[in-house]
Amino acid sequence: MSGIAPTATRPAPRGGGGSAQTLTSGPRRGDLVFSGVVRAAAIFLLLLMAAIAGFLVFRATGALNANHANVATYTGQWAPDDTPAKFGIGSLAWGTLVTSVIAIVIAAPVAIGVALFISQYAPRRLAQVLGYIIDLLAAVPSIIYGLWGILFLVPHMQGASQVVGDVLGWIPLFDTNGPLGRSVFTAGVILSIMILPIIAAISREIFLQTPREQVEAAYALGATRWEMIRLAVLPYGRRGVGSAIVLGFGRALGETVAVAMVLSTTYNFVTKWLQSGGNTIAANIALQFGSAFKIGQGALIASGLVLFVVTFLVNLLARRITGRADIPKDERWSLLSVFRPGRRAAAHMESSYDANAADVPDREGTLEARDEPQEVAADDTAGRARPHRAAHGAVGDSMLVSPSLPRRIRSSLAGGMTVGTFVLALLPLISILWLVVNNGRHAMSPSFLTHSLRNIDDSQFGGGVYHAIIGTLEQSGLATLIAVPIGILVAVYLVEYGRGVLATAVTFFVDVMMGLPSIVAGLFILSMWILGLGQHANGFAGALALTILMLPVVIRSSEEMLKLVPDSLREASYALGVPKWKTITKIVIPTALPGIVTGVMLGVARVMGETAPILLVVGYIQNINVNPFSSDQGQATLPTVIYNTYASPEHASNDRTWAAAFLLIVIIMVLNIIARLIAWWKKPGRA
Amino acid sequence: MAGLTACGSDNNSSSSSSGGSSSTSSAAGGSSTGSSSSGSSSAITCANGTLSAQGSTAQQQAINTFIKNYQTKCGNSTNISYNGTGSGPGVTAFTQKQADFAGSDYPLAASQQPQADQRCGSGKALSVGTVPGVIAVMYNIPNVSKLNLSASTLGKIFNSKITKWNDAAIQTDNPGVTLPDLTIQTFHRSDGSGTSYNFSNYLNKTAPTDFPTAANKQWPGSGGQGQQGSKGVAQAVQSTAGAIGYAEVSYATSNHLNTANIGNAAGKFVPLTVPNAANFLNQAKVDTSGGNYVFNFDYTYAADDAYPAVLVTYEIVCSSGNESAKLPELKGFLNYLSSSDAQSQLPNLGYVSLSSSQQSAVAAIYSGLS
Repeated sequence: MSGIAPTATRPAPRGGGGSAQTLTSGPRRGDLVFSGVVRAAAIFLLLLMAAIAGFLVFRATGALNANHANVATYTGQWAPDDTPAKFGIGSLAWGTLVTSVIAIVIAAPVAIGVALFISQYAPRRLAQVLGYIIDLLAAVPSIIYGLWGILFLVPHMQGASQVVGDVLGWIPLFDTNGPLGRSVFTAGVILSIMILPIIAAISREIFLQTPREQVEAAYALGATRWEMIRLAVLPYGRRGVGSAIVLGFGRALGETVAVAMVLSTTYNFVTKWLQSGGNTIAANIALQFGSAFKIGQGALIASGLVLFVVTFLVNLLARRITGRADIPKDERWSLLSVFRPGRRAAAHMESSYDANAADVPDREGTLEARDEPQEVAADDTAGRARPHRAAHGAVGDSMLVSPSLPRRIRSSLAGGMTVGTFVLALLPLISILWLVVNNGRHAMSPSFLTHSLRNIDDSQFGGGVYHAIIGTLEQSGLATLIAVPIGILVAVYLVEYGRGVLATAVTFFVDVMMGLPSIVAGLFILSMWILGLGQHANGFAGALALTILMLPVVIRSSEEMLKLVPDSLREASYALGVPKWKTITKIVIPTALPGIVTGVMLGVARVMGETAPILLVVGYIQNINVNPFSSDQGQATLPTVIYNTYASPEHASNDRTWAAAFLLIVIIMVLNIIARLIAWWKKPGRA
Repeated sequence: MAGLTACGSDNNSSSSSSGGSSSTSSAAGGSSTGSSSSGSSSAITCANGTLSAQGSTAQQQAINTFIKNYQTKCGNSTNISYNGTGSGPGVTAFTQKQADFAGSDYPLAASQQPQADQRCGSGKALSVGTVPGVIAVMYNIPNVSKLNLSASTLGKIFNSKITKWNDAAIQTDNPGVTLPDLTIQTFHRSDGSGTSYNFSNYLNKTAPTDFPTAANKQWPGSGGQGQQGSKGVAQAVQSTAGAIGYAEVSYATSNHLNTANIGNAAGKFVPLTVPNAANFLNQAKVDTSGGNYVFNFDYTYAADDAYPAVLVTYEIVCSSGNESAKLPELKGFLNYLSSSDAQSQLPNLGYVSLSSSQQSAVAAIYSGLS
């Protein structure tokens, strides 16, 4: 508390337009420095993105010029290295959209159900544990999803697809007259499982932040739990959940290995979603990178550029739909409430915490009007204006006494459905974990943790992954050290300072970064850092590539969490004369810390399972190398061990694949728990 | 840091060997001449230091074993790594000086040669065929354990012209065998691969009418389903009744899949054995121009005991201009690859050895590296 001048600022919520102004003096030095730092972080991010985009364009141009086929419509073989070079990206983009849309249609409702169950229905103590269990899905590396896909899901999807086809076969999309199973439908299902934890975790954190006043106000009105959720929790979290879905969608767009493994690739515009065949941009990169020479690599990068653009457009569309761009919170509420009385009730609860008696009839009407489950979906996701439905019945009396039986039944049904979604989300997790544990137990032993793979050939049992554990921890540790401070600073910039072109640009590019295929991040570091600047291929280069992949997850999730910090906290702090930068570092960030930690751990989980960029910029070795800055040796990581052992025909080698996967999941989970314990320990108001 | 090292160990000398698992030579009907006992070799000239190589996954299993043998003999100061990133990234990394040598399913193409040469300074980038392999046609037909398939029939199957196992063409190849009325599901590689290139080359060169598309690393046949990697193809064939696919023989063996006798140019059905593959390989014309050692297979060779679906994987290495600190180890290791000691272990690992004259020719190339 250095300053004495009272910061009688307007309760400038996020984006109060630069540093806080005081009535008596100019901006304080602390505030100037802090706003400079966060702005620098934002500018750094923009420069990084500009560099990546420039790199993509540069590398793609050569291949696009060499292409003798129409890149948008060509549906023949992927043959960029042939003479004449031929490849098409249009059909890949189409397949990418189809699989991602299928994924989001499945994942979004389930994830929201899971988040509601954990945040609203499950007993508080149990809720934390249940949350971690769903987070485990994020700890499963891509390649394991792929293996589970071909070993378990594809055979089952053949039957399931037939059932769907029997019912909907008259729609050409669901024609089943051909081999089934290795289809975009299956790929969509796998993707939906992979993105579910991201959406569920962020939604959960957001739902947990619902101001207690709103919840209590709803209950005070006699709302059932489900009505309370619809009145308070869902409206409050709507925008954040929308962002979480966009985040998940971006993740689905960029997923490589798992899709590559389950899809039977074809290069046509896939129109029969249940039949084997289809391809996505990211999967095609994973499949073709291994045989791509110069133009081939350029062609893959060109497809990455298209993915970039697709991600960009999807985000633009999502923003239009959720209307989240730059509307200050209060205005947004009032805008919405023009069309939707239901929102006004909730908005009132938020802004004026007293239950104003005069408002009661309106709220009652709202409750009744919104008491129809089928409306919820349309209402809450589409977010468009709906007519005032309050007309048909305000039953004030009954509400004040106790909820009527149908309303209680509805509430129980809704609760039951959220339990159902949780169980549904658990099924693949159990199936995957069973597969990993069952196959991983053969190679798992104490010496597996303490030995390297040096001098172990494919057919030999024994050896271990000590060297890979070291590499994994060091590289993702370094990446976390770089990405988390930058990420949080950028998020702070966006939430507390960001206005205008810079903020809009940063927000957009962060979204686009989500869909960046990981190989592209690897190629970028290889070209710029290793070949361009003459640095060594080592663990640190890997950490830099991982940083690029981790940043968007950290920024976006931190951003959402910072936005949820009630303005009243900021206002209270300003009122006490605390400078803005201290308010942010001492009040805002600590309050949002548990949510930020969740986001960071999602980011860590994502990069710990990364294979492709590590293979490119770190390499793969079988002996121990503890030095990530080594000048003559790379490092092994658990994913690269998995990658290099799973393709072997030898069972001894394959056993190590599963054991390494098991270990990777355990490590991510343990780190998760440690991080949460720290967050809990640091949380203000812990008693 | 030292403390960290002390926790873990690179010493795996006590690890048990599985005895080559169920390995490959048995199913290949092969006579493996050498014993695969590791590190017994006098062929190894040791050198210390770190070598990093990457590329083709097709030769990865063999290279891993040779690395183990070499390091076991030479001790803890010798570290060689092979990163199975694929032929494309391997060659690219070699060109960018990120790999000391590359493994590739193909010799360097004319368009790649100048850039690769540039990396070698005064020298040239050589393509040296070192680790040959054999491609199995795997099938999954209940109660059929012996199957003949001519190149022409295979061409029709892999172009979706034949869709049932009891088709007349297949029946003609297999007199007396009861074939089921089962739909054929063909599986091919969905990633680009030397295996696809060489198998499509065999079909196209042997049965141009029924498989008219030229060889390509992207599977050029029409129809069928793609799977990632030989592993994926073998797994799909194993789990699908009526399936047929192609992969290196070790994948057929480890998945306990039956392999077909395939037709050669003379219409003979040749069983998949290592000697049969070696016989075909011996007939290949070798192009040694420019210091390379590049195999051109003679698909017209029609002996009863020459199995025509083979491939050769190459090492891409600089003839001169190699980093002097790494040269002894590079020469030492590559020389070991071409030694009869290493080559004789190949059949046990699911590969084919070079003939002794080919071995000495390749060894001469590696000895001359500078």
